[in-house]
Amino acid sequence: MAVSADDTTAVRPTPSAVTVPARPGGRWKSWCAVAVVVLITAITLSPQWGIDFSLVAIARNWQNGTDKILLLLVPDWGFFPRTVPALAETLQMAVIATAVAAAVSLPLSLATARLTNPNAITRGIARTVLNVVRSIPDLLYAAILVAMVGVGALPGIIALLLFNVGIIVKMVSESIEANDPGALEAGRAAGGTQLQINRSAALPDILPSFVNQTLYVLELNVRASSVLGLVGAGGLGLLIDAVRTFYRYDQLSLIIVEILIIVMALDVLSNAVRRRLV
Amino acid sequence: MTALTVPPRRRDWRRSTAMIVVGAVVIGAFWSVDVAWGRLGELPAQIIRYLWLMFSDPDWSKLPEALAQTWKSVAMAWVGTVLGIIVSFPLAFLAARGFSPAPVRWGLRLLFAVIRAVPEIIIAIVILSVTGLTPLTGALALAIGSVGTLGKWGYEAIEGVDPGPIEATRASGGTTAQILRWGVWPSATPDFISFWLYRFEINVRSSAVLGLIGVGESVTCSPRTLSFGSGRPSECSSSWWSS
Repeated sequence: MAVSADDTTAVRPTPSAVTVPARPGGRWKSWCAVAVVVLITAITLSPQWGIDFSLVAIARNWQNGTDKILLLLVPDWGFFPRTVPALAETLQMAVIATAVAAAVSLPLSLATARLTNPNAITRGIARTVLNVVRSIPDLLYAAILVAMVGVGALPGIIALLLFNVGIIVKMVSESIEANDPGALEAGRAAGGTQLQINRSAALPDILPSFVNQTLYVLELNVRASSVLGLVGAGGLGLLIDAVRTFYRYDQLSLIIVEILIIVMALDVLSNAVRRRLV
Repeated sequence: MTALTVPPRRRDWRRSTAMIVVGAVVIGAFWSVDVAWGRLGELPAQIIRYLWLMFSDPDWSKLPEALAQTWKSVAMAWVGTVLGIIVSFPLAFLAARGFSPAPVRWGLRLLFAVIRAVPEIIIAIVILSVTGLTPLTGALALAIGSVGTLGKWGYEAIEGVDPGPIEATRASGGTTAQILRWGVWPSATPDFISFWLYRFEINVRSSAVLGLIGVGESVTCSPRTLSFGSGRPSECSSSWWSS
C-alpha cells in the first residue's frame, strides 16, 4: 500500500522525525497502460479510423430524440392485449431453454473439470466444443437456426439452449475446480469408480453453484428471448420489430415496461431462492 | 463386524414443494408452447448442409470488407466500454453504502437495475432517433448498457472491500475523498479492472449483433442474407472467422 504524506499528518510529531519511505517503483507501468488506453480510444474515436464520434450530429438531432423520448414516457396501455401472447411465448422459451440447458449442463460440467474427469483427451474435446459454442452470440445462433428450422419459437429455444449451456458449464466447472478435492480423493481411496465419486462427492458440492447459475441463466433468457424475435425466432422480439418499423414508440415503451417488470420480479425471486440456498 | 447402518435421508418438505413447483412450471411451458417439434428431426441434416455451405467455399473476396466491419464492431465496443467506465466509475462510488445519502444510493441502484433489464438492442432502437444508423449509436447503446452492469459490480466490489484500511484512513483523519483514494481504491482496483475487461468482452459480442437493426453493420451480412436468402451463406463465414 502506498504511503503518502496524508498518513503522517495524524501523528504530528516534529515533521523532521518522520521519514516517509520512497514510493515503490514501477509506477510508470500503470501510466503506460493509461497512455495505451487513451491512444486506442483516440484511434477508435477518429472519423478516419474509428466510428466518427461527432457531437454535431447529436446536437443537430437532439430535438428529434427528445420527441421520441417524450413518446416513450407515455406507454400505449391499449396495446397490452396484443402483447400477451408474445410475452407468454417469451416466457415459455426462457423456461424450456433453461430446463433443458440445466439437464444437459450438469454432466457436461463434470466432464470439463479436471477433478471430475481425469481423462485429458475427453476433457480437452469437451472444453474445445464448449469454447466454440460460447463464442457465438445468441442472436447469431437464432439467425442461422431460423434459416434451418423455420420461423417460430423452436429456433429461439435452441439458440437460448446453446447460449445457456456455454455459460452454465463454464461457471459450474470452474466452481468444481475451486472446490476442496479432499472428498473426491476420499472417494477414490475408498475404491469408487469415477462415476460414483462424481455422484456422491462432487455433485453435492456443486449443487448450490449449479442452482445459482441456472437461476441467473433464466434471467438472462427472459432478456435475450425478448430480442430473439428480431431475427424471426419468436417471442416479444417479433412485436418489437413491428412497432419499430412503424415508429410506434409509445407501444415500444409498453414492451420495455413489461420486460422490466418480469426481469425485476425474477430478480427478486432468484434472490430469495439464493438466500435460502446459502 | 457390525453391520453398517446408512443414516436415513433427510426429508425437507420445502425442497420437495420447490421441486414440484419447478417441475409443474417446466411441464406447463412444454405443454403450452406452440412449437412444431417435428422440425427438430430435420435439424441434423440442416446443420450439416449449412456447415457445408458456410465453410466448404468461403467467399474470400469479402474478407477485406469483413475485416473492416469487424474492426468497426470492435471500435464501437471499445468506445462504448470507455464511455461506460467514465460514467459508471463515479456513480458506483455514489451507489455504495457509506459514501452517499440513502436516497441517492437507492436512486442509482434502481437506475442500474432498469438499464440492466433492457437489452442493448432496444436501447439502440431508442437512441437511433438521435444519432441515426451510425456506429456512434451502437457505441452509445453499449455505453448505457455498460453503465448498468459496471455500476452494479462496482458498488458491490466497493462494499466488499476489507474495512481495515478504510478505518485506518478515517482514524488518521482522512477526508471522504482520501478514504476512497487510500482505503478503498487500492483493494478494489483488481476487481474493477477485471470487470472492465469482462464488460469489453461482452460489448464486443453484443456490438456484432447490433448490426441487426443496421447499427454499425457488422452482421448486416449474416442474418439478413440468411433469413432472406439474398446472399450465399458462405459470404458470412469469412466474417465469423475473422471475429
